[in-house]
Amino acid sequence: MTPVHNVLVVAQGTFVRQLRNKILYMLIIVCTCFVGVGSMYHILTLDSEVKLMRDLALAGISLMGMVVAIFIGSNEVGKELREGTVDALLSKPLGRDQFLLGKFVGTLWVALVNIAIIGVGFLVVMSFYEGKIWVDLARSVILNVFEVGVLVSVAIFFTTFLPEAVSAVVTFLVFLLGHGAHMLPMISEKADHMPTEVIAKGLYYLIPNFHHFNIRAAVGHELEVPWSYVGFTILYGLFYTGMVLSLASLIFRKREL
Amino acid sequence: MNAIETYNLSKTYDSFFFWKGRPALDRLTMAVPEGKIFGFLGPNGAGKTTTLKLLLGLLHPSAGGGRLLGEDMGSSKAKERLGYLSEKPTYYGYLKANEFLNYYAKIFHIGRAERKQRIGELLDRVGLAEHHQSKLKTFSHGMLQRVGLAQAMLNDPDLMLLDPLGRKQFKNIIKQASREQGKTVFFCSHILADVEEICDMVGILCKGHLLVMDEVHNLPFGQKTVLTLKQAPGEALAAIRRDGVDIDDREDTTVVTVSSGMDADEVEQTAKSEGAECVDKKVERETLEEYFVRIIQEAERR
Repeated sequence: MTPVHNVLVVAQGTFVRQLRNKILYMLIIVCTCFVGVGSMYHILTLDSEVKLMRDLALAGISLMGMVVAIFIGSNEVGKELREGTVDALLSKPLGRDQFLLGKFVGTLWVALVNIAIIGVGFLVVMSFYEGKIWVDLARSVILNVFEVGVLVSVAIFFTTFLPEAVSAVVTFLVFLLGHGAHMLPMISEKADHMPTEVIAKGLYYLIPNFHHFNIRAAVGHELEVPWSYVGFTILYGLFYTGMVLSLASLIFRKREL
Repeated sequence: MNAIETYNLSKTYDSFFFWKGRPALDRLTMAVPEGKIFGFLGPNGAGKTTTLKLLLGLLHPSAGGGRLLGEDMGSSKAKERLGYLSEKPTYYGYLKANEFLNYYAKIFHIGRAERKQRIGELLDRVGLAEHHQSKLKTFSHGMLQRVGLAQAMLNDPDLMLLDPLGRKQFKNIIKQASREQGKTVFFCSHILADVEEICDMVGILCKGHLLVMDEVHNLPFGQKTVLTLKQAPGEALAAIRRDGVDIDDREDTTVVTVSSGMDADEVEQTAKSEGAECVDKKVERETLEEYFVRIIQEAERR
């Protein structure tokens, strides 16, 4: 029984479960509508409907990724634990690590498909407007995918020892803090009290720095983001995801089911 | 060779942070030979499910250990050769019966064609062939138990761990698996008449302690005395009513069963002195259920 096969079986199971999740379809429809009604944006803006559409599409992709990562990431493991379905699954020759990794891959797979649906819709609409596909937008979407990967791993990490609702809230807090992580060194430096300084510094090293993944503003202003930056950020994302999943796996191995 | 071996297997749950509570399982040492049907009995909270979860690696033992089919309990190698039906058969409601079994069968690396054939056979065997396209969320508890048994047999296991078992149909499947295919079946049940009928061996657990474990025909069954009373007034029945005396008041007669270890003559005399007429007196072997109730009561009194 190869571990990769088992991971893929669990991932496929996760994907199939979410395919039947009606809320997800609603989200896709809403996000796609934002992009699809691009022809009306000129009513809201003066000659900058393309920029508005670009911003909205990237925001939609980011929002979809976040919702999938936090809610599905927390729900997938948490629900199996709560309902006891994990007992029968883990009585099969399936390692606990493989189960967690399968849930991670499956959730990421759901996020990727959702992002792809909105992304393709967006690119089709944009090609009508400008007749070209921007590489910068692709860079932003790629980084967004890796950001989702980090967030899914964080959500799964918390569900290994917290109830799913609490895990979702804590993951959302990590998401918010992670987007403000670049300000933490500044807070630490300017702090008057020792605890504030220590907490700010500790959080800076502990929580994922999602600010690195956010190049939407640069893309919005048509600034070119170098591929080397994208590459290093991807490496950071992979490293962070690997660390968090390893920790989650350690906790889950010890957990009583 | 033994299909199941445990030595001093113990489990104590943390009751409050790191404060240890009462042991759910206390130094369980047992061996179940291959090919046997083993009934694991005990009242609620005796530690039966805890034992099963420890064997499967879902719980971690506080002390001791065990082996399944010669492999470490909870290891993937052991799990490749066993099937498990959980106490609460909760499965994925959004999946159809055949999709659910297909999902689990993939973990065993069963090829597509073989999967399809085996799933069809198993659904037929548990009486769910007509429902193969129905979603599990529409299934009753009994149907979920049946689909649960089908998933436990997907890999044609050498050892089946079933918790609990209460359906007549299962009885035939278990007997067939053991007698015709040489499988070992370890199951928990509350229906002791079924256990007596199909089991080769039983183990009785109470408050985490194994009280008895033996072949069914070797169990030290006691003798019970069955008195048939006629025209027994209420005073007579009140006078003989006590632990170990079962009174079955029928239309014309009253059947009084006096457990092993109790003085049947004294019960008979008391009834007679209160005006009852004893028309029949028989000595019979205890049933497994009566034996079980007696030794559990004795254990709880200690």
